Amino acid sequence: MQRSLYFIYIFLIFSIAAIGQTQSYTIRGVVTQNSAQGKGVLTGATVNVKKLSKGASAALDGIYVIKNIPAGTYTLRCSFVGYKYRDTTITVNGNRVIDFSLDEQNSDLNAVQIAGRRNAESEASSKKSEQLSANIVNIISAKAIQLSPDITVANVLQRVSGVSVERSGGGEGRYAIIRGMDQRYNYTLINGIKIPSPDNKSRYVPLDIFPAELVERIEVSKTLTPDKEGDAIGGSINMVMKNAPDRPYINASLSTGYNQNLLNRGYDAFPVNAINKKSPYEVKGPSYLAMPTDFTRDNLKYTHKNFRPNAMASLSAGDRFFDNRLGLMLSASYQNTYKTYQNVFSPAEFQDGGLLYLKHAYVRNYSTEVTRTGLNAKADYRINEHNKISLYNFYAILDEAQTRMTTDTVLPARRTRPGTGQIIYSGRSRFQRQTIYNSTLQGEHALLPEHLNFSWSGVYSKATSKIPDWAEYTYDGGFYADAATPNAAPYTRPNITQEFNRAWWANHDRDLSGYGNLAFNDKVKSVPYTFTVGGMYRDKHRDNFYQNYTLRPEPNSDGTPQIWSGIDNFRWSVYNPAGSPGEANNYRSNEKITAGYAMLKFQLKKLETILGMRIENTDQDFNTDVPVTLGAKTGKISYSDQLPSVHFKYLLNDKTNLRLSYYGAVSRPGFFEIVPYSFQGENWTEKGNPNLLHTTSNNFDVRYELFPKLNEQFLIGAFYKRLHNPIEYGFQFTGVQSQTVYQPNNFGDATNYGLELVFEKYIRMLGLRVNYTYTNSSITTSKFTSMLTNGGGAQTVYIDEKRPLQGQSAHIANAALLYKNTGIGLDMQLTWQYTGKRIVLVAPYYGFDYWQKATNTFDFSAEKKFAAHFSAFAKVQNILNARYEVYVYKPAINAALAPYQNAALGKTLTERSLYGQNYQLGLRYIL
Amino acid sequence: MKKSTFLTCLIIGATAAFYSCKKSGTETVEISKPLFVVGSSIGDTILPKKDANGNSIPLKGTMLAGKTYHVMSDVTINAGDTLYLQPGAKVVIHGDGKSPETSPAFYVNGSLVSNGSKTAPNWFTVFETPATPKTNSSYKDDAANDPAFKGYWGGFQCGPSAKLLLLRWTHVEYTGGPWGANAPDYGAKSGDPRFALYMNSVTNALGSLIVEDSWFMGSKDDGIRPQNVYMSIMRNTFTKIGAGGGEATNIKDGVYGDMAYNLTYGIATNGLKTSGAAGKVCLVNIYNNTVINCGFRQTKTTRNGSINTETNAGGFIYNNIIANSKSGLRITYQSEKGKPSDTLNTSYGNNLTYIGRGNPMGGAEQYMIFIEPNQFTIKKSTDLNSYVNGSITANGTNIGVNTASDSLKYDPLFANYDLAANSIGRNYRNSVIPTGADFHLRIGSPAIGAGVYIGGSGKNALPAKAAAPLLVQYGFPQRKLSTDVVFGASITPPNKDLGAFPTDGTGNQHKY
Repeated sequence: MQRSLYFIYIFLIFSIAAIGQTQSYTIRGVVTQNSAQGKGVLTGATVNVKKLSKGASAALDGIYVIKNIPAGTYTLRCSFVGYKYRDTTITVNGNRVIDFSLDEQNSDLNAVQIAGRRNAESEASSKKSEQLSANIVNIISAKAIQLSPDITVANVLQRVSGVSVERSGGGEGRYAIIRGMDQRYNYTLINGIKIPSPDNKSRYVPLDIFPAELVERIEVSKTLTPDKEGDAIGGSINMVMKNAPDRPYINASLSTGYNQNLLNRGYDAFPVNAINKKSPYEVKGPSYLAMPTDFTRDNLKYTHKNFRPNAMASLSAGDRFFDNRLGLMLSASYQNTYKTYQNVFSPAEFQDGGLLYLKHAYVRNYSTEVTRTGLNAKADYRINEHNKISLYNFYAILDEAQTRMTTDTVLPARRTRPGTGQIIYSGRSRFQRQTIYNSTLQGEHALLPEHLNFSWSGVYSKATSKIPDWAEYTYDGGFYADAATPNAAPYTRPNITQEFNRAWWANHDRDLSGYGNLAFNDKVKSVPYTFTVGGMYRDKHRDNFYQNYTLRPEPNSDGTPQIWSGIDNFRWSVYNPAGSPGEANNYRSNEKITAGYAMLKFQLKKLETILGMRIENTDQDFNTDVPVTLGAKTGKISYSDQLPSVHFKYLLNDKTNLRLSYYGAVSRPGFFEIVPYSFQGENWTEKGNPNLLHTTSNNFDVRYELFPKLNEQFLIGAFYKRLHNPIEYGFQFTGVQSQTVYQPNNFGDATNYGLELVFEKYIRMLGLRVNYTYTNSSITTSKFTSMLTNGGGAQTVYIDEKRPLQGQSAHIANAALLYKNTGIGLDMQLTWQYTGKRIVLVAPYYGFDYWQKATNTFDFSAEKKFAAHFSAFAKVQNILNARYEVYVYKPAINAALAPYQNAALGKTLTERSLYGQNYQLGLRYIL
Repeated sequence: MKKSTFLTCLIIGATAAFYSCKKSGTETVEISKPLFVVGSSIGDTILPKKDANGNSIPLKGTMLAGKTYHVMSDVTINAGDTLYLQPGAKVVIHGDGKSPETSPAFYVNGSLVSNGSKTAPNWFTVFETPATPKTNSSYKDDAANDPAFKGYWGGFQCGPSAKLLLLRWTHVEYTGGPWGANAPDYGAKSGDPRFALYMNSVTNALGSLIVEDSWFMGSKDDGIRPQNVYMSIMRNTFTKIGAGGGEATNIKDGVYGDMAYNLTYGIATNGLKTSGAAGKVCLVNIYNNTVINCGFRQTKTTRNGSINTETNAGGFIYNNIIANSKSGLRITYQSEKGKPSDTLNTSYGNNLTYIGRGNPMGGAEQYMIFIEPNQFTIKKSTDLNSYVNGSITANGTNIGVNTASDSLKYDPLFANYDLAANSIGRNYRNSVIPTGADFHLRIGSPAIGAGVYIGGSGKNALPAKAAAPLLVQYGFPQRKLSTDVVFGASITPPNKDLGAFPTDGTGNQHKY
């Protein structure tokens, strides 16, 4: 808290310092760009008074101010990188206002391109794109990314209105939730192309695999036009990767940092190289019966280490060759970060009568080392002014080594008071390597210049994920009161060694896709129109491998159970020596999508209209390794969706738009979800659902946009979505006792409506960006509970419960306070993100849903230029160490208060994590 | 009549009854039963037969007396079909317990009736080879090496459409082979040990599970595990069930029936356990059982070790003898797995608990107590044990104290089994019933005449609990099953003596 106040204080001092004094005369004005995309302010452009060797640069609002100019005649030069400079001569005999408008360099080379590229990195151009875009879109520029306190793309995204981020266990955002719609309703594109996910559970790429510095800009679309793939009910995210610039370009940065928790606690490491990369089944063949010696011990030997600094480096370089016809852009990034945090987990147990009882208080100490390497290469070649091709290659590796040390306090009797009872200890080693490779060849051709354009893409992608030898041992001890003398000091119960689990996972996804679009431009009676037709085909294949072994402790020779005395002395037998072949977890699946569309865009006076239709055919199949005598060994699912859409944009005046749109969209289950797999997940037994139906939706959007000044905007929008068969994760009863499995399911139909507000304002060196989204989603499902009559004889009752969709917060707000002093080269930003309470887990029991408490996250970043090409930067994430807390809105009935609970709250804490502050300090070189 | 006169008359009467019973018990009557065949008889002894594609042909019809059948891989009985074993049929299963494929099981989707008799019992056992040896009496307490726990074959697994599983005078041995890919269909996960007998009608009309006068020896995990059936488990013997955890009978939600006159000896966890589910009862009467040496192989704590009810389970629990086990009867409030029993529909009393050694015996979980405190169980006035009830807390649990010095008290005086001698050293962990052991009651046993029975009065009166709707509805004993001689249950009502071997010679007929 103190730290954050300090930052605010510094911030204010700089702000005050920025307000200077005036003498004699002052020249001021606005610098704007004059490009194909329209006008926009050029923050950072400089205006120099040649004779006086004096100058100023344009602030966030595009305004420059040069003070202390004596009367006289001067030549002013306005310049900015990538633009043609402009000179003008003026006579000063009083305060003057001189505005500049700069032209882009080499703008004639841009003929083929429909959207601007060269300045796409600048904030001003992204604002302009938003205003000009035919559908509802938000754009974050590279400048904004560079300036924000975010290392990953996912963290950048949560600055966009209506976007929140689902944080993974490590506190890193992995998936975007757009307007309260879970990640499954959104897709991620790279340069407009879908890439497969190596993630076991999601069909879309986890965003934390992308370092923010590789990204030129991010486009978040909240409505779909017919030329876009239809599986984005919430919206889509397009990451446009850095492109070849018009001049030699180098951006290199080197930084270090640390996590506060690591400084406080240190971390537990295990030797990753001790892991057996392949299971005994893979090494020795399917008929092999594993022996105890086939399993290693060394990967479960933990050493406690002290503070480790993070290391991050990135390098981007690019240039154009052969008369600017060939552009090459290469980037590499490397991040090695350490994190440690504690997670408290107490699952809510249903007890008859709708009561909640806690049986466990798991305290899990996680230590993770993440190594992330990204390589990005883009070449584009302009054959002539009508034809252009580009080749894009992307490769990323994400390694995560995670130690989890668990202490589980068992809360029912034997625990009669704090300090007594059963305690279960375990240690787990998990290493995961994910890779993504993508190669995209794209072409743009003006077949009939000004009239007929053709664009195409050919894509090959491969994504893999491997978790070799996931291993966890357990032993059971505690402090027991003697049954004969319950009030005497408890004795330490010997630690009895328990089951030992080992598992190997691997999956490979391969995508082959082709896209083609043909656009015809013409006029009918001075009404310009564009008619576009196109299609795509994608063939997706996945191989999934899973093998698990249970090792059980050997009893002592006298029949008594083995006592734990370290991993080195652990004697085990292999309970299932053949492993677990023939399981549905071993499967192959395919998905073939064929789509075609037709779209007409025309402008009648001030009304721009896009209307069209998209048809998507889906063919999915899976084939598991279970024997033919079992059901659901194979499956085939196919369906066709017709997705009409219509978008209106009405130009009330040159500063105001009114938009109205309707579109149909779908959401397909993941490959994984329709396979009848079953395995023990992180917290629950998880199971696939071959009967899962795909989701369809009707979406309506209305938005009012006001751009009062260049670089300022005010947007207000409303949306309504009607979802048929949304997919959520919840618990299903298996029919065996109260046993439940965690499973994707269709819980019925849902509605989702809301309101969005965006406001941006810049005054000189200060800027304010605020956005807020209200979302109301609701779905009603039947929940289980029971009633007790006369203190016993429980009667099952089903009650309808209305709730928001999983992951949906009613209120999401972001605010950013910016300071930019181009004169001294200092940028600072303080951001706040608020995510209201939301359901993270849908319980099968009435009133037992798990709600994440609202979170407030503050981040700070600053960058200061020095020397010619250098700058230093600092970022602080999670300044207030926000708590991740999950509650069930019911008190626990445990007689002895359970640890970590506060009885006065009247609700039960089921999960809590504190991820700690992250600090980063670095150096950047930009040519 | 004076009190002393009454007592004298009672003793004389009881003694006379004792002798008269004994006299009639010596008379041997054997009358032949009609030959019984279901469908066509099965001539092939190598089973199952395969079709042209190599897939197994489901089995139905009659397995014949005197024949030995060899089961080489999984056997399926289709819905609507019946497999019937005549008295004296023997089935040997070729399995090694190392993988699902090499541990064949009987998948019952129709009916299976093994109609053994006292003189011609049936067998389901392993085909013995040097690689798959059988156990012997030297493996008293060696779960790691004892062949009894190798799980050579997969037991009887009943699908939701199974109508009847009946085992009468049948030996079931060496079960527990691991589950394969079909595990989730049976609420298990791949690699888990299979129970000797699993049956669950799920949402169908309740099937019937009848296990009478049979022997279960050697199971890797639980013995009998039914859910959603009508059930009668009577006069059986269970030994060596559960290597490092497991119950002789682990009865789940939706089961209505009786467990009586069973001997459970050397079981890893509980001898007999009932557990319902949230909002769903498990209503089983547990009476006249004898539970010895149970609960000491379980490596997980907070499990009971004799007779246990939890999570909405209820029923009449009377006339049981618990000896040298980890702890006596538990009506659970909470444990790591268990949730509160249905105390409204539970009625218990007249149970005898004997502990050979009242102080911890060294090693983890090695102690004997009468009643585990902090649960619902209290000592009833008709109970024979040395637990001193404490105060009842707000949630209905009881914090009492066990009187450790009262070990050796309440010895039920078995005819030929010295409980004191069998508690010393590590004898209490023994899982082999000594040859010649006899668990009938000697004269002077406190268990004689301590039970509730039909027609009894005072402390012997058959209990009734008018406020408990389910107990009133289902009765004691329950009579939901058919009483057909072949396809029905033969129910023995509660006895005036405690335990599985009452002095009147009824109850359990096994000899050791």
